[in-house]
Amino acid sequence: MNIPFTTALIAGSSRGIGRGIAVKLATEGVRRIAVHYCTRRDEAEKTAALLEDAGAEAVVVQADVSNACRAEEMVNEAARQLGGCDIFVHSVIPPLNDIYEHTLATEVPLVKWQLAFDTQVRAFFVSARAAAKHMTRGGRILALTSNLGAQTGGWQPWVGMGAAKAALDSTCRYFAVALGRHGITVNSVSPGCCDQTTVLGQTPPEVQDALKGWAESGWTPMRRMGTPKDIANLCALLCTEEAGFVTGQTISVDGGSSLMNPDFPLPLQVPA
Amino acid sequence: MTITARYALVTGGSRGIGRGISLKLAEQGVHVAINYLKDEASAKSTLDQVRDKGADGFIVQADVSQPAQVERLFHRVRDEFGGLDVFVANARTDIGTFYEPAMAISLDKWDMAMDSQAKAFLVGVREASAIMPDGGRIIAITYAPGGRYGGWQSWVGMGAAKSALEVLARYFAVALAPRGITVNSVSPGWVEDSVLNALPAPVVQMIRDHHKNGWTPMRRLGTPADIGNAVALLCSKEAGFITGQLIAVDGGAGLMDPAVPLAIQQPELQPA
Repeated sequence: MNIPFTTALIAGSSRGIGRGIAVKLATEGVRRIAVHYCTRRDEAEKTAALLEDAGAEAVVVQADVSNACRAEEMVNEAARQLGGCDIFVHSVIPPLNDIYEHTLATEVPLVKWQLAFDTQVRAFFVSARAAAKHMTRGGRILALTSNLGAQTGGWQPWVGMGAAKAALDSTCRYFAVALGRHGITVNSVSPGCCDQTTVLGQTPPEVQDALKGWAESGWTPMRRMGTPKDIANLCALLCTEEAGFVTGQTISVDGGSSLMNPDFPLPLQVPA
Repeated sequence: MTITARYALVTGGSRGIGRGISLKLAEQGVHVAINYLKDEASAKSTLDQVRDKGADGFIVQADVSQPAQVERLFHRVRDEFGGLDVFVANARTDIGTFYEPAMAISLDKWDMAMDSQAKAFLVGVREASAIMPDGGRIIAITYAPGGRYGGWQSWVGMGAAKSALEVLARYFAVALAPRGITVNSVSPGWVEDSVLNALPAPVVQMIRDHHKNGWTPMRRLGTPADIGNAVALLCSKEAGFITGQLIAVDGGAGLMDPAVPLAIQQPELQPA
């Protein structure tokens, strides 16, 4: 399989899943890649070094994309430095404390809700269409989403991100229609719970252990948490030439965790 | 809420959820044909309770997995009632006839699941529509999580069959809309006095605890009366523009996220 594109901007690639995606695209022959970060320049430079090790040219761009003007400027700056922008990936998540409050949905502060919306759907709305203007020979737009968070209501503190991700998925479908005529596909990629190199690493150790144990016990049929590599693999697949007719889809890459039925204790679902 | 229907047929109306539906309709003054497969005593007892509510009806034996018997069932309804306003497809074949894990299920069991659900509904709706005046109501009782998830391995036949049933409800909704006949699916979660009773006592206890601990946000299992209430609402005059819909009656169980341990989903259970 072949990725027929030479430039990519990965919003939110200083660490975690975004970094994994950037490195994978470099490995698959995307020649010039922009690493976007908000606060962690040191980590963004590490990602850039990894890209160079993989044989790509890296540029680093900074922006707080919850500010729509900055989001658009950042995309244009990246495209100028790259000489185009064939692939745009939105993998931004603010520091967990800024969006997460361990309380019922009815108690989550408006400011945290707002930041979830501003960094997810509003930032994507602005930056994806700015990026599309630089996609002159077709292109790929990907948004990282959270399928279960968007479709269920169980994880109460996730209300802001859940609702924002649902809105993000919806926006992908609209953009997919708008950009289909230009050979640009727009899809969302939904990881399950990923390991401590991702946002999970910002939670207390007992939460990390609980989620890891949960996945390994069988609530994830493949019995492990996801890794940035797993997610990056799907993103790379969606950037191939062969994926050119797949658009407006939300695709889970979660080892099957979204197949499990929350109505049942685990031992009753899968006989040993 | 106004129910003007006079005659209903509830397949599998002798026990459990079917009985709950029969009694609720009887409370609203609807006469009920109570279909049963083997348990004549329970069917008679349900009929007695229907009469206690001031309505009337009759019991009628038929195996709905056999198209010829479905036809006979509807001929009997036509002969007794002279017509039919409400058809509730509720019968589910005994658990032993279809319950087997995905990799082991025999074709006989697979066929039984399909025949008792999808084929029974296909034949039943066509028969019903022949004796149903404009403005009638058709309701399929499903279990949507079984079709949406793959966790409960031994439910594979019934899960696939219920998905097919839900699809049929949408197609029939379109077919019968010009006559003002609505076709909807109602999806209970775990219900007391249901398939639950067919399971060993320790398993029943696990399931009850699972839901009371919070996997059902309303912290209890459903009751046949809960499901009867939802069916009655769909039978009301006010529900005349609602068709082809799948409505969960599960105390919120379907909102929970299977990828996250309960204590993390519901903060008040375990403060941060």
